[in-house]
Amino acid sequence: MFLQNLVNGIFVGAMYGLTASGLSLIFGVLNIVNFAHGEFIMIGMYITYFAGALLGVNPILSVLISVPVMLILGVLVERFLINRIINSSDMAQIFLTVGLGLVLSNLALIFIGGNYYSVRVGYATESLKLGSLLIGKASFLTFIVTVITFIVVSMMLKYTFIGKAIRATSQDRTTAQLMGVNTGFIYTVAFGLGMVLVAISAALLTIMFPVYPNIGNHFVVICFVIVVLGGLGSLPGALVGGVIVGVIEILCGYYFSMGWKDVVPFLVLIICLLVRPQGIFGTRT
Amino acid sequence: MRDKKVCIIILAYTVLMIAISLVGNNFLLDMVVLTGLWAFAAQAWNIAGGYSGQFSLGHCAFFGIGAYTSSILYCNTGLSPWVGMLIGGVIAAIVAAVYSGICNKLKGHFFALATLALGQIMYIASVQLTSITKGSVGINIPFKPGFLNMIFNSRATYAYIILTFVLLLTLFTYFIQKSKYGYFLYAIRDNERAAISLGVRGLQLKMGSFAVSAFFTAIAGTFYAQYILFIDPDSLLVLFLAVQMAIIAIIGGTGSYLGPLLGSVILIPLSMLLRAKINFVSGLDNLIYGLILMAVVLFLPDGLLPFILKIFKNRTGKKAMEKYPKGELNLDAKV
Amino acid sequence: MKKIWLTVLAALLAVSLAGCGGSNKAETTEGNQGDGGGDIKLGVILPLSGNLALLGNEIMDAINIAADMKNKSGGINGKKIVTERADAPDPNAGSTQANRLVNTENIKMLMGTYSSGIAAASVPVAMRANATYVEVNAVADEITGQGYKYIWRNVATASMMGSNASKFAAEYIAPKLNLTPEKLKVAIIHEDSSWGTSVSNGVRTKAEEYNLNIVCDESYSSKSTDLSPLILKMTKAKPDVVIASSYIADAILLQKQAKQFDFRPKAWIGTSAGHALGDYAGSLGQDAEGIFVSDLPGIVSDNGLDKDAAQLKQEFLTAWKASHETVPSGVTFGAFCGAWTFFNDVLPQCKTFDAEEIRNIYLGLDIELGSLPDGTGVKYGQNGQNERATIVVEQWQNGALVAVWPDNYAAAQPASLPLPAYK
Repeated sequence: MFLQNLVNGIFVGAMYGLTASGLSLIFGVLNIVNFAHGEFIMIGMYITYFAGALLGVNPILSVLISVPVMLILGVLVERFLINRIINSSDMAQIFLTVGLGLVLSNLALIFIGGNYYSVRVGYATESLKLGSLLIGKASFLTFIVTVITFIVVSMMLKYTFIGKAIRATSQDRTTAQLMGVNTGFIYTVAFGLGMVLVAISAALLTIMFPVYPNIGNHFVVICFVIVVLGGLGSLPGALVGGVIVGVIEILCGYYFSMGWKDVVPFLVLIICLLVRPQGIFGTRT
Repeated sequence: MRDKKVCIIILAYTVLMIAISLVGNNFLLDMVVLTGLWAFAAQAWNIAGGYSGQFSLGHCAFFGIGAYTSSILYCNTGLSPWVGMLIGGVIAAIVAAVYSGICNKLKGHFFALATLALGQIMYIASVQLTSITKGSVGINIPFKPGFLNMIFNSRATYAYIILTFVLLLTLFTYFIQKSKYGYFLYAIRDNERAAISLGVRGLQLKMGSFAVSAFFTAIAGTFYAQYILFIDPDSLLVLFLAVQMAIIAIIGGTGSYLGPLLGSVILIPLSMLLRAKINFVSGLDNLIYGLILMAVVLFLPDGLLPFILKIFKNRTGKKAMEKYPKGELNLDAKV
Repeated sequence: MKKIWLTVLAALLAVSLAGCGGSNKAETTEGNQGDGGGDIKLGVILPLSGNLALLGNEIMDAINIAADMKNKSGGINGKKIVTERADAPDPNAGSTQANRLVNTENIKMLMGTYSSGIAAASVPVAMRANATYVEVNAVADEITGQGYKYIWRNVATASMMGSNASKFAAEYIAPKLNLTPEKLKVAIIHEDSSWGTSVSNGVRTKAEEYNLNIVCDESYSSKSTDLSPLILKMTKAKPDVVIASSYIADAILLQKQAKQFDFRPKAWIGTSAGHALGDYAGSLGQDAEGIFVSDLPGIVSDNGLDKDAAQLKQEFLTAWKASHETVPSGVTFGAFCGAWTFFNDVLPQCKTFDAEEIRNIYLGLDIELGSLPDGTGVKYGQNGQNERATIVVEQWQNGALVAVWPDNYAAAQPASLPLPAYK
């Protein structure tokens, strides 16, 4: 049973990591905590749901639709909103996104309604058997996609020119600017890329979770924790942080109490802040 | 000059008190009470968030500690909420001082997110510790009017009390702002390392201001509990509440004792009116509130206070501007 | 750019101010007439936005349908019923809205509230102002347990809802499985908000009365992103019956993860809320088949209804289907019946519309079981609780929720007992 819980924890952690990755990237490059992250996940999930319900598209393939849509949405939001407050105080930035979140979730309530919609795919509830271990196909799929996504994005950040420019901006805004990086453009790219990650994670979440206007609330706080835990804008950090939180949470839920399991991420966060304030993979002091 | 400002504040308070005694409209009184409550809470938040730069998104924890402590004591032992309020305040202050010490090294967003975690922990604890808090079922405070019980028949009484609270806290922050501690706090906020190297005791001051801020936030919590007469985790310990305190201070203008008052006077009646009147489509009121929030942040990222001062300055020359010490106008300097 | 934003902002402010101003006027004219000529105003406090928006809005629609039906058949002695919507997503807003409706707009009749937490804040405000409060949904026992004089709840309490689930397990399921109640292994799981906690208290108390063998008793947050530890705990405890008090998202997740980990009890009983919603079956399809729900009666067999009730049920369903895709759940039916009783049996007898008069009318009501479209009747106790409120057990059969127990409400026989293995 321990092994089963451990495996479940790793899968949950991978889901957390992927869900937080978009937030982490945006946080790292633009240094903005995006409180509308949950609402962006909600939009991504609605796109996946409607792609399935109206066009019969499988959730996995729906990223072909949701990625471009979310990319465009991200670029617009960055250009017209975020860009304008990039030099304001931290709190002003947070509240712009709080306001945006309110607007988006209530737009969904007004135009789509409060119903809970799910896509129904067979593999959502099927499992692979590995000896006595049961591995949910959906969790496994999420895990694979997460790993691939992280590898692709990390490679992109490491080897492409634009990736290098993003990393440079994330490490030191001013110097990057002095070196000729168009930071304004990089912000837009990074925000767009963050939204692509949101679209991918949202598509996978739709397999297991019903979508409704406030579904983002289920995920957004845990995403914050993981981003801080992983370290400023570190994608590998988000994945490792996610897995740590996931494993401890599941073990606590099984061996201690389901009611208290949700406190785990926050306790882990506080311990981490005491021991290593810059986060697991963080570099900034 | 100092006396003159104090006089104006007290005069405004007196006028308001008289005005309240003339108001018969309950919705208006409710609005006054809630505006006062949130002005008080935001003012308390501002001591940490505005003066010493500890942007907290976990103040709902202290609000909850205050409400729960006084209500549990009152319902179980009959202890007057006036006393319970102080006990709750002290507990909140201790928690806050410790937590501020733990998070001492964190800056900006990281501090905000760490305090957010505190609020969440308190939420889960209050749901799970059912033997103490009655869990999510919540605590009904029986309606027994009386001064000692801090329960009143008339909303006007609540309004008098909360406005007096606001007055006292405003004077308190005003004098802090004027004192050397005020300048120390500004110095820490604007450049902590430089301040410490000049001999300001950074850690103690930060912990102290966070504790004071938590103390007053807890008092706001008690007042809330005695006003609504029902508390549960979902109405006290949610992120939205912590965000609301911060939003009011930010929209008004942080770092000055007038900002939170201004923010509350604008935001609370606005949200109440929207909810009361824009009721033909579910969610439309929140949508408009969100849009207004975005618009204010976009155009007046430093809050309304500097904006109003600027208008004032254009009309009456530079005099009004000069009256403010630099610290107040350097509102959200980024380190 | 800035200009565009400023224009948008100005327009928004203008619209909201105009909205405020406009409706302000309307109220002063109507509010003053209150109980004179003109319309009869009813304030409805519900969570219309936020997490509870789905059922909040459905209940609002049900109350409006009842008002429309009454208005079409001549209204209350010629006067029209007008509902004033008040959105209260949290207790704080509940208190503020109740105060505004009662004390400022002078509406002395309120209806609501769906969430017990919101009711806990809004009901006392109304009581202090001597206003009538018709509670058509919130189930927490405390609401009618505070000694208030003017609260009227037509639906069953949380403890009734919970204890009925245990009763069904002990009296129906155990014999069917050839077990004595003491041998029947039960898992009690519930989401940890006010609602789930109070319902599960009812489940637990009754289960202990019947000496059921409780092998697992856990709470969890309805916002949980993963419930696998709970499923694995139950896998280990091997209960025959699971009694779950869940909201909707967690009810769906529970079922999906149960299937993932091949956990299949012999019977699964949900208690109202999540398990009873159309979206539950819509999300799970085949996997919802055979799930029992202990709920306020929804669509019950016409056998248990008298002629008028059956006709009323048809009228309501027709009106409902015109604007909704899913069928109304028991909670929505409860709201309709509570509103209908108020409009049809209470208001026409009123002269002054004050709370004391309405109290006397309510206490005098004696409507037999089966006279309302959900099969319930009306007989209020001094505390304002309808003693003829009923709980039935329903089951998901072929994608629809049908009443299966007790027999007089049953529209079909319980099937899939024990639940077949997953395909």
